[in-house]
Amino acid sequence: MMVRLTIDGRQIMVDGHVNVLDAASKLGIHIPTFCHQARLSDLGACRMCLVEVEGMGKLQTACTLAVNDGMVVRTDTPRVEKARRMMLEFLLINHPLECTVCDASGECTLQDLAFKHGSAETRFKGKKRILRDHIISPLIDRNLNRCIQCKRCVRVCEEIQGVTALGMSYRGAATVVGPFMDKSLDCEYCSHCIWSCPVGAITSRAMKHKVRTWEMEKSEAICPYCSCGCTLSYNYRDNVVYRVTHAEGRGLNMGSLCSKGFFGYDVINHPDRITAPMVRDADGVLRRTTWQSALEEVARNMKRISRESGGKAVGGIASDRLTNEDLYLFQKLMRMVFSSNNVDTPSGLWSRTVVPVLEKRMGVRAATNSLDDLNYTDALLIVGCDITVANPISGLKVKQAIRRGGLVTEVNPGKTALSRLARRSLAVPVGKELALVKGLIKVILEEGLYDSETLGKYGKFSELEFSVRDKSLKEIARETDCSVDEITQTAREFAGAKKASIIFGETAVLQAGGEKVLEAVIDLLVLTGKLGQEGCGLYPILSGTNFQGALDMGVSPNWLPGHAAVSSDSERKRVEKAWNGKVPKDGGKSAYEMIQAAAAGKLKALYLAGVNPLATFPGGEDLEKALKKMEFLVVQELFLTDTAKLADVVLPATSLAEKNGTLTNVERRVQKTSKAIDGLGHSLPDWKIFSDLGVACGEEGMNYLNSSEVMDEIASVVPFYSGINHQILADNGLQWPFSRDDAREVYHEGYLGTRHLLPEGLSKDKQFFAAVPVWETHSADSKYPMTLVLGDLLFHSGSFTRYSESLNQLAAQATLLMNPQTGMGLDVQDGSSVRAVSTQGEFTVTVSYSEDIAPGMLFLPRHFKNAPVSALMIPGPDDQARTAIVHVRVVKA
Amino acid sequence: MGLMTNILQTDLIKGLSLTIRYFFSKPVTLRYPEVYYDLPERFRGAQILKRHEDGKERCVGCGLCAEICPSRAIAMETSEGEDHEKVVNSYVIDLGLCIYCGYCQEVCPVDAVFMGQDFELTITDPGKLKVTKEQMLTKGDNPRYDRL
Repeated sequence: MMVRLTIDGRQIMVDGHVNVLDAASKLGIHIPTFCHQARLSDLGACRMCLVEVEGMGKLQTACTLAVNDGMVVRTDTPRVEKARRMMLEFLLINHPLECTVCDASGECTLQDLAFKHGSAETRFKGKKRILRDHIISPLIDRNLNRCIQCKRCVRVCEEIQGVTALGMSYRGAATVVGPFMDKSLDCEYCSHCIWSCPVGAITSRAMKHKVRTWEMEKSEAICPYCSCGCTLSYNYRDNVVYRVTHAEGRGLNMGSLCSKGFFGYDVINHPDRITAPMVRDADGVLRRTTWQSALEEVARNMKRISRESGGKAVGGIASDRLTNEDLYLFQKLMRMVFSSNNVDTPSGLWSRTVVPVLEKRMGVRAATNSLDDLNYTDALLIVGCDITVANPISGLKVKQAIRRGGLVTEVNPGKTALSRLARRSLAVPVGKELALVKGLIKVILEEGLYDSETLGKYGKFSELEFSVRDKSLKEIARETDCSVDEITQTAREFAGAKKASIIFGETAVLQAGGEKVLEAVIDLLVLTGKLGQEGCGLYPILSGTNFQGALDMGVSPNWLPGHAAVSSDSERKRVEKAWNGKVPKDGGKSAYEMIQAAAAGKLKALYLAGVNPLATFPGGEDLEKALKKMEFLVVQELFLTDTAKLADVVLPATSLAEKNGTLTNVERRVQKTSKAIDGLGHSLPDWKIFSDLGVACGEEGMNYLNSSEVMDEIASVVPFYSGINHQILADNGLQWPFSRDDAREVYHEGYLGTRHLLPEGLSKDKQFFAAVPVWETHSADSKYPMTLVLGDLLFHSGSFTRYSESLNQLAAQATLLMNPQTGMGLDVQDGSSVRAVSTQGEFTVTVSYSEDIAPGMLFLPRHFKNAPVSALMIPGPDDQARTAIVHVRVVKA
Repeated sequence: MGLMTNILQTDLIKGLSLTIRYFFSKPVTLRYPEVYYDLPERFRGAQILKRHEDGKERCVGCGLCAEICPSRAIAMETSEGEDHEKVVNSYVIDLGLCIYCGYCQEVCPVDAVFMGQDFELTITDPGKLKVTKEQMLTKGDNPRYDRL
């Protein structure tokens, strides 16, 4: 319902649900306020937004006053102005006037409003209230004296992050904000409280007293730490990034950030960054040199080995943290200049495990829907994924859905941050996810909850029925540690919801047979008809920042740019024509196969761009031996990592804050990230290094002026990027497929590209069920009885954030997490050290008890140096990341 | 007229009389550098930093002087101290860039920085034009700035 009201003599039509404050802001009338923030509930705590309404005797708070038809509001009368001045006078009774040293000075609402509306004198002559304060956390600083009790931090913590770590204690003038019992802060460090504080009561300790707000320039970029692709704002001065701020209302995250995005910026200006190229000299020592001599060294050796031993003896592994432009040039360099299809990203999980199934079953090679759909989903099934860790901002969207009444069922070994909020949290042991999904299918078939349209297309579901016949629901329930009731309820909720989606995560893919779970999940979606429309779809979520972009750019042994198979002659010809060069015909080796070939002496030269295998690849000592055996090893890195120390040439690359480019996130959204500061020392953006190296090899086709030029070439080679260029991406990014014909659409407000795939449903040849049987898992080896999950922590991203001092304050050491029950069984105490032994190797680590881990399972973060997970992971023909589920034996040290 | 002046040499006499008069009067110039001119109170020389009576620096590191400086002559580095207070790690004024406008003194909310009386800034090494916090504090300790 629309209503008409008058504000300051101007009429406006607004929706009946908005408040006077928002209606006024639509007219461009600014009403001062402290406690109002977009996306938060309104409270009327600060009394700053008082307005005069005709027919109402007292002044009203605009933020809590709903609009009414015929309402006449005045915001500029002397009475209102006097009320504002008095409100400020009240606030300033106790607010310390230490703007000179306050870190919020310059962006403090109280400072601004006191300057605009306040009086220069105060009539209160008493002493200011001084509250004793203490440090509540290593990264978040609280100053009680500055607090104006607007409750924004408390509300943002509860309503957006869903953590409720902050609350108000005591009453009246003694009210203070803080953690429970005023102990230390135990939360997700999402930084929302810092963002929402209108004064300097909650600030970041990472930048405390280091810089003043007005000295810094801001530049928007994309966060480098996970596949969500959040927009953030780098604040820098004198080529140093001093902090990250939330880009209010921007990007798919609407400004929200997680701990990694907000505090993880200190790797950029880390003192250990490599700032000049290094070449190993005759004495075997890495020495600094010029770019020219380093590139000549690389070009000479790579060309020589490629010529003498063939392109198969040369390989390259590039991190999925790089931009699309970097990745595209990397594979072009390897394929065209060094004649090798041996290109891969460290985790081939996406391109070799998930995508073939998606391709076979649905004909797509990415997540089908947009992350924004999660906000409004009615039922959501999360299989094998801690969404709050893998993709924290997507996790926020799930939390919003829960607040709106969405029925979220989580299927995960152990508890996550969502378990407390979700409708149902099913702690299904590793390897039993398939049984559960099949259980859901069984219920839907038995109760006839399937989609009638699907039934019309398929006629009957005999195959699917056959596949779930063998086991009764009771058996399935026993196997998966759930009750029959839980399974039936979940199935009914999912099938009955209007908008229902499935999030499919790493823990499910990591295990052997992960494809089967994915097949069953797709069966479930097809059966219930939850595909191809807004709010209904499948989100396979992995954590690598640009894993989707890496596949699109062809950093894969078997795929050329644009998902073109290397084996297809016509596709190869097309790419060769665009490049004006040759592409080798045979498929290449995966990252794991390259390491195997290196150990066997068949791979002689390896180019590692942003990859540190010694920290993340399986194999431990064997791996180190293989790398040492390498005739020529190039490492392009930010830091002198363990792997870089073995290299013959080390090339200094720049971080994401120092280069322009595009990244493709988990929902296929291509977003532009912009350079904030210049490259440190002599470091160069990755694409520039590949380009220069190509030119040093005598290939003029590798000469590019800037990354925008690379993007233009990508648009000409990758069909579904064909309309994309850096200018068109300037604002919110675009979801592919995006062709030249779509380009005119970008001028429409809110246009973001293709929001969901499969609008016409599955094509004729994809209309079948995989009907995998309920899977029998083999029991663990009695010598290695425990299942160890090597996973991620919320506060770290790969081995890269090891260099962040701030994030290390939150978690710096790996501890082996286990349920107290498991610990008692093994007779190991909380805090004691144990040896974890797998068939590959072993190391000693401290145990820490956690109720969140399911009994019989272990969890070890894979970020830290004190627990070199590489030693435990068993190399195998399965993809590298698959080895992240290891069977181990735990022995007292 | 011209002829008479030429004959009587009156110009010469006029000039000589002036010379002779000043020869016997008090000199106008000072014998710098033996003798210094008494500078006006509000002379704007190289900056000095003042301390509190207890010896602590007055400067709190708010950065307003660096912000207002029209020639960007002031560079300031601050950090968190042991008691979580704000510490000024370095405060450098490049006197080569300074235009001696006095804005820094004007804007300082804690009366820490003042334009001093020091005007002898000739140096042989341009690096020495960058004056550190310690140098400015020592200058400020001079009794002639006690009134500030």
